[in-house]
Amino acid sequence: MEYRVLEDAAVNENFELMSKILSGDVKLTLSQTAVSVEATDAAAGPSYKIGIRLEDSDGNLHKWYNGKVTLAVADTSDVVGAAMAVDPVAGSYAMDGGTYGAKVTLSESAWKADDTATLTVTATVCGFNASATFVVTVKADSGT
Amino acid sequence: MSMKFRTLENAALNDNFGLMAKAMSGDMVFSLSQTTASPTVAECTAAAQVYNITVRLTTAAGEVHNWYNGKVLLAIADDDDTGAASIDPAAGERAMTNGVLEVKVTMSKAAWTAGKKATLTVSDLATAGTGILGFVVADATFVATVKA
Repeated sequence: MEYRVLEDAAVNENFELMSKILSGDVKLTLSQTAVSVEATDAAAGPSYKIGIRLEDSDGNLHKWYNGKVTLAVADTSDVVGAAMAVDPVAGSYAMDGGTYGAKVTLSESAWKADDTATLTVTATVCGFNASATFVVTVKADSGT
Repeated sequence: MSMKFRTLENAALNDNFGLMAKAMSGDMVFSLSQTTASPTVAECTAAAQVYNITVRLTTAAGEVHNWYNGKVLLAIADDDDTGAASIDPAAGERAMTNGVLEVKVTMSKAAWTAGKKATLTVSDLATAGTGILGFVVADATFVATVKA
């Protein structure tokens, strides 16, 4: 069996789109993937808006996709109360036209240098896994 | 650049691609023609109770995924010490036909105890690591609860 090339170019494009999905040509991209913040600034509880897109390997948006994406947060800090929160709360949510938005916020805590907090975004599309992370790394204050 | 299904002149083709797009987004649920029943102890004692359940794989909006001829997992259970529940076809992986599968649930002729249940569970094959198109489809159940 092979994909036949049809006379109607639009039909061919649709089948090409399906073949990409069924080949696992999906990836998650985030509007930002890493940021460093000084300890003093981290203690103020900064927030970061993260745009999420489901794309193919060429960076084209899978605009047809309205399936789920999963948000999770974690951190490496041993400071009591230090944590990253995500809005909406960790869980699975339906994308809208292949896009979604989340906001992560560091708690107002005495974060230490080298602490990290990570938002992990995952999706499983037709059995193919895609994931991306946004990592906040705390660094020592420049004045110290 | 974004990729989405092109709208074609042929409406039927658009419907087909639209349905595939929903499936590939994981928009799939199991829909049962009947989800509960309440046979009485007297009815169960007098005769076997039979329920013909139509299982459909649909979108959340109720459109049947009639392209699907893959398998679903059937299970039957009961918590009664006297009566027994069974299904036809037997429990296990069974292929749908055009997104539909007929299942006959039978509660044996016996003095079932009030409050006891017979439960048909329809699942995807997620436990085998496959699911449907890689998506986990939530279980659906038909529960017959015996009443006094």
